[in-house]
Amino acid sequence: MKTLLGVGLIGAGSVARGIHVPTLGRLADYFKVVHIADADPLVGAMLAERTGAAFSESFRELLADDAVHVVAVCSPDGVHAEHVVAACAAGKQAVLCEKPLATSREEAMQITEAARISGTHIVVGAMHVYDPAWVDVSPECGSLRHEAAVIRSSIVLPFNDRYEAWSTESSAQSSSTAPLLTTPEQRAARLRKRILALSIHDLPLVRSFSPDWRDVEVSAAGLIDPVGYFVALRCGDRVVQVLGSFRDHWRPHWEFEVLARTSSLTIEFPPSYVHAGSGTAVLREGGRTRSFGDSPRNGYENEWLHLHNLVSRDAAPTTEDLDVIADDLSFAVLVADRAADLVASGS
Amino acid sequence: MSPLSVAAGGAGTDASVQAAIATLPVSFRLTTGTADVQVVDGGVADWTSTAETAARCGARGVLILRPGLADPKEVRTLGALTAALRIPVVLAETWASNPALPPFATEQSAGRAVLVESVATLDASVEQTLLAQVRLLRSALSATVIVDTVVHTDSGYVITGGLLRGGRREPLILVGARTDRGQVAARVRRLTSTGESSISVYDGDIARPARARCADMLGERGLPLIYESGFRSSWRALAQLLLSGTGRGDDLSTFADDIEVSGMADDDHSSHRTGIKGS
Repeated sequence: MKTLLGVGLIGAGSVARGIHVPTLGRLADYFKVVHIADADPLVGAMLAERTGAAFSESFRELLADDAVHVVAVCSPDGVHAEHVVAACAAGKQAVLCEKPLATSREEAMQITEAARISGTHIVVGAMHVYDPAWVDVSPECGSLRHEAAVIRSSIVLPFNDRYEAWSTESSAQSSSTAPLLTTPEQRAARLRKRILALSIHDLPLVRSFSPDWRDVEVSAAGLIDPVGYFVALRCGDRVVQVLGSFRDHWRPHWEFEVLARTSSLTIEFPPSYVHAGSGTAVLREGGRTRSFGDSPRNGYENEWLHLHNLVSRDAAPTTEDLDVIADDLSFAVLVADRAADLVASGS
Repeated sequence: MSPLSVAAGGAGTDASVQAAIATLPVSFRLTTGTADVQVVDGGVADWTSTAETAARCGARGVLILRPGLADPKEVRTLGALTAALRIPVVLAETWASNPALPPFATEQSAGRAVLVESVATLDASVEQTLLAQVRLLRSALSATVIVDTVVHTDSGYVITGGLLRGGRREPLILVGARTDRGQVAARVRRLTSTGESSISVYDGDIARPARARCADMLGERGLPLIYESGFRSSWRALAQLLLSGTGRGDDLSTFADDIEVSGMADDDHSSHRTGIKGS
């Protein structure tokens, strides 16, 4: 018999409304939303009423609720670390933290240390890591991992509100107008933030094909119109393209690609907020081509099911589990920082 | 009219020439010895010299199959010579000769692109792959590539730069990789703020049609599939130039320009650790 876990959501914004609540609704045999906390009582109470959950303006009240077994951190990026560490300190069994887990390696280390002490499992909501296309193809990429030459993460999407409207019903709009950028430092900060918000989905995949991932040298980086960025870098002996772009067009492209002399991998992922099943992966090795994915499950469901499995196995998180989380965040921060440094220098 | 006689350019070209000529029996026939048309293997280092010799020895036309990197000065010298002799020279290129490219180029919107992205895999060196990719962009988008930064190894590269179209610069990212057993293919995607166009092309030897699509806010349209190989298209172009007597094509001039753009060959990439070229 499955254990029904009570979920507390910290933050009731678009990610909670359009991603996690619909996903948890499909996994009602595993989870029940029991508590929602948001500093904005209008937004938070509305979502709490819809889900039949309790509401608090303070996340500490949510953490004090014994009905909350696991916590979903959907708050602004800058307070993720504070909320995850607090959930660990409150003795919660698991935390699903929306990406990015933190905004610096130091914060990531604080989180893993807190999780080690409390025995709290940590799952980062980077859905492509859990997408069936990636989960199925990844173990088959042994030779490609050895010979990978070029890694390409290319994300070109319509603005999120196009998909939010299809994933939930909401009167609250999360869109905002970005301030004008006038200095290299402002552009650098914008670039860093966008990499940690969008490309961070795929950077764990990039890292998995980059054995020397700590050896990062960025050769080019910049912002592109209307809302986007690019980075070209060397990572060990791999060369890497990282691209993210939003524009007012209906056609999405979310591609992850690895090219090598005798093999290649191409994955096409669905856009964020879309609950349409998995991506599709094509692995070519010599004359042999295999396809993976095309599953009715998507990464959002799988990350929650993964969390449920972690809790159900009744064992503390392993050092390896926590190191992977810290290293994924460290790599993303490294790429974002080096790219931002280049932009700030005016190069 | 009787078919133009063709002398194949040696072992490196025979199969491709025979395959294309077999589908153009009215225009061409293979022969040995002196011929109207001389085929030059562009994969050998001194292909410009071979072509020059052919022009001086009375060839009415020259087709250069898979032209590789060469000294741009020698390419321009060849162009000047063949222009003076009114001998048409046609380059049969892996991707740039695809017959779907001219109609794709005319479909491009006038607005500035927010990004042009291209990915290429070729069974050749990264330098040759980049040259073929730059040539593809010229044909597909009627544009000239500007390279700002290069990060590369012996097996692949990422390049950032721009695309000059109609006096305007559009942001450009190129990715390329060497493949020994994989698919020879290249893709180009041009994104505007409210639309996009894309094309995928394959090996010039096969008649697999390019996939060309143009999208606006209302939907997407696929351009007609053309089941003709890029190399056959080059042969047809040469036949038209010879029959019309309109002189030479201008391939050599732009080819020399594009060799200079693809200057990664000048970089020391013997170690992938040093394979970074910055602006």
